[in-house]
Amino acid sequence: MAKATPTPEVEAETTTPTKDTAPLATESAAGKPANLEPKLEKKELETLIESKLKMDHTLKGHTDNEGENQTLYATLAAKVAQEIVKELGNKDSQFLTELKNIVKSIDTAKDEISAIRPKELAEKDLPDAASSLDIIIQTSEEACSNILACGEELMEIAEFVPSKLNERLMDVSTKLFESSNFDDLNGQRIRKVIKVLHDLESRLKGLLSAYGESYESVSTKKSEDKKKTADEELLNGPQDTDEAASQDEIDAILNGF
Amino acid sequence: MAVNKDMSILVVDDFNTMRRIVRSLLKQLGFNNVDEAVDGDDALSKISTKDYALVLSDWNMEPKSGIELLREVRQSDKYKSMPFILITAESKVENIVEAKKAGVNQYIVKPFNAKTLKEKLSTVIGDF
Repeated sequence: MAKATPTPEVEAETTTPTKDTAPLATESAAGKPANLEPKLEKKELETLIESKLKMDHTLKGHTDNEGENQTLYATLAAKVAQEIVKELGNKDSQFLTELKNIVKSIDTAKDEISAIRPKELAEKDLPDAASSLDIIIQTSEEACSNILACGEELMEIAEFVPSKLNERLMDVSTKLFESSNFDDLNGQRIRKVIKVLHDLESRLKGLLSAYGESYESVSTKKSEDKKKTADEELLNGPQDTDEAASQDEIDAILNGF
Repeated sequence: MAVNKDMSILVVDDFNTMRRIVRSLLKQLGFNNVDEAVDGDDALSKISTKDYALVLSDWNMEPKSGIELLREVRQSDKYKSMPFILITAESKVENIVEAKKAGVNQYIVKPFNAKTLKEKLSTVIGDF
């Protein structure tokens, strides 16, 4: 942020060309594309100004000849400029190397992530898995409800039977009630897993959105590479209730052959 | 003093199966006057219209949890001494400490059996 908004002091120094700084700008501009031209740090500018002042002082002491003075000045200025460009060039080279390494790391990460088929995972596999778990909760609750109904019915029957049988029936119903605890606990555990799946789905979708079309195409290509065998293609059960064919429908299909 | 088995009991749980289990076990123990609430807010609403001798509540419910219900009950002069038992899957030490701080009378960890329920009820309302 500090570099993007230089202090007024530095900005004034860098944007006000003078007779002394002009050769520098020309030299560096010739060596590099304009948009990559390094900006001088404040400290470097101060050092340059100090050198220039010393140079002026030296030149004044040695000669009063304006032409000779100008030649000496230009030679020294060119030397200083060369040193600075060389130094900044080294910095640029190091920066570019680091930048290349970062880009390479990102590409590697993208390849690794695309290998896990994020698009399919986010848009199909994870929602399907969450949906399957929802169905498990629902069907388990229905089954448990039926078991509880049996226990309640046993309790009602127990009221009309001799005491010894009553005791046995009550014991059986108690065991049914106690055993039905599992449904609540399993439901809570499964809901936690569903939440994790939804979080993962959301993060993957965010990742896909951040990387855009190119990432999706890589992902699709990877998923195409992983072809299922014919038998694997048939393994899609158990079906969701609303998708599953009923026994009557299956019988009708079989009878149709 | 003999326990009045006609006492009003409120069972609070957002999971219908659990409410049925607790209600059925209470019935086996001879307690038939049992009402149900689906969360803390529903329970508060029922408590404000009927005097309950005991509340058996789950912890993990939305929007108002069992611990929030307990705290609100304990803040009220009218209900601050009402027997309150938590029946929950939350079994970490910090949960139990927090429940005790909030003023819980007993704490039953799921899964539980009829024997445990009877024992904990006895410590709160007396032997029966």
